[in-house]
Amino acid sequence: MSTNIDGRGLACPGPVIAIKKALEGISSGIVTILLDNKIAKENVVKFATTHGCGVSITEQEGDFLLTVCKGGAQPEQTMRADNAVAGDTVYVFTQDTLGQGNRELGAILIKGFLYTLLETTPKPKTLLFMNAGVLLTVEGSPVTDHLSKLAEGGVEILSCGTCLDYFAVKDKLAIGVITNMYTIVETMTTATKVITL
Amino acid sequence: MYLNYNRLLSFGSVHHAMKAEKLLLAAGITVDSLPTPREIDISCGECLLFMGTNQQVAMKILEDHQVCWTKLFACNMQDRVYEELDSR
Amino acid sequence: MLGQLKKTQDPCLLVGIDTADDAGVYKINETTALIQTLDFFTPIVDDPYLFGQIAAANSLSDVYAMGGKPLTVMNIVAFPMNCLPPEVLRDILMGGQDKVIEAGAVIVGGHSIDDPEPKYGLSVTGIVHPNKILTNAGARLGDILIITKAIGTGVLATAARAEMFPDGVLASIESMATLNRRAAEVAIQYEIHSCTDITGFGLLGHAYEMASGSGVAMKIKAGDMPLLPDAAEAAAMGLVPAGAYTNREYLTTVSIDPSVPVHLQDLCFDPQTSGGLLLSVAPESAQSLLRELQQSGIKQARIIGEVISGERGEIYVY
Repeated sequence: MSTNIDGRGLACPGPVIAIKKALEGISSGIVTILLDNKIAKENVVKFATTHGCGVSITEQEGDFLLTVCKGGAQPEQTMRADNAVAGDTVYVFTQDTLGQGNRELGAILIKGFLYTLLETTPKPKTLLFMNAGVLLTVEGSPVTDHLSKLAEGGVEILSCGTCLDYFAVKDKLAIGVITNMYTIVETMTTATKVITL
Repeated sequence: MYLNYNRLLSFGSVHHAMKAEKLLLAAGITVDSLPTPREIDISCGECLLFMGTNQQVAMKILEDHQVCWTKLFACNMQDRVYEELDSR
Repeated sequence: MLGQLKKTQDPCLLVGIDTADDAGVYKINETTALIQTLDFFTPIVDDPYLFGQIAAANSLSDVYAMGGKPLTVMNIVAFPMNCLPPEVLRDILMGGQDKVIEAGAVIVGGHSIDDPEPKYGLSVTGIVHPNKILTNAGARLGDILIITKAIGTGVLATAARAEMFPDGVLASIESMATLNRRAAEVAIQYEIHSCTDITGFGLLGHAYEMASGSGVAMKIKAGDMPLLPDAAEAAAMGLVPAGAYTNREYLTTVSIDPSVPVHLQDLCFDPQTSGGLLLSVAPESAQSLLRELQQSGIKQARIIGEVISGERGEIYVY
């Protein structure tokens, strides 16, 4: 969830108070604030950097749009089902088949694997899809059904945006959300267990 | 060292970022690539870092080769502050 | 703008509008010159009594900055008679009066007008020996620069509006309400070549006035500046008033070493209310003056720089 603040017309120190409140209200994420003067911009930048947040500044018709990022910004999350997700395991899919050696075999194996994963408890926390792995989360993928069910069960499905872009399938994403390298690394680092396929 | 660069260029597609990197390196311009900071673009992408002293030369090369960039920032990598200079 | 007014030819006018000084000084006889000054402003704190105290201390400060002693004062009042309860005005005036009594001066009258925005201050008359006037001009090469109050009232006023840093805000109020009387009484016993008080233009703005008026350059060590509690943190997180940015833009002869952290730079330009004295003292007297100031209860007094050779008005901050 990204928060957007219209800070125009706020008398000093209104902008700093606004960004402070917004950042306190989230554990991580993006907050944007629109400001109408240079001094407010300088002060909000100072606030952001003192609090370990990165900030980008874009001029928009004489106003300044600041994008402040706190901690590990997550993209929009899929809704978690009522059955809580146990386990802290992350699976990383780096290709659209399972194993090396034979592609045809690999295609069969990946379907089987995901099916079995559905039946297994505890469910994994996150499935990360990178490189050719992203071909599994787009329209026409042979494992759409399995992944949908996993997502319904509260499993996070994240696909690398650069990879989707590379294969020119960004607009064909069918399950889960697009992610970035920062989130990928953070997810792997904070996981109890990471299994790469 | 990433922290030394003071210009950041973002692209519409990773293909352009890769092409840009090759072109600039071939021209002898010191350049580095990194995932686009979240403050700039929330979806993953690759962006390029270079020095402001090379800005004019670098941007001309990219124009000449019709490389599609989206935004140019003056950046302070230490503080993670990115100020937009130009956009397409 | 003042340059457009006619210049005065009166030989008794010892200090007029020609120099950017804090007050006017007019010679009465061989041993006495009259100091005249006034100042008033809108509330900077919520408590009316404290506002009165601060405004009075601020107005009286100019007399001390000239090396003089306040004698009589008159209240300058603007108040929304129909919008705020009369007790508020009473408290402002009480705050002012208590401060005037503390200064050893007497209120002889005043004037008030109806105004939607409250304002308060004093018109002050003081005396000084014609040969002992301290002005903005007169700083000499080699002089040591000493300030007598901690810096940061502008930043902390912003913090107060953000309802942050209550300790720093309280300390700032106490500092603003403190008279420069004791500091001046101690200082005039030493070889002071120049003196001014630090107010709206910030430390660097008033240092520039002194440097420019004296025809000298200065170097100031930002890290030696005494700071009010929480001021550094408040400045670092962006609670920097617009005045600090305007001061920075205006002071083009100031150069700052990039190694000075940005928050300290901002504090150097931070507009002060009722700030301390900036003294330019002969080097041989500096340590003794500093010691006596601190022993007299002026604990925030610090050496912050010196007068150096260079272009007139140039300030180098490192």
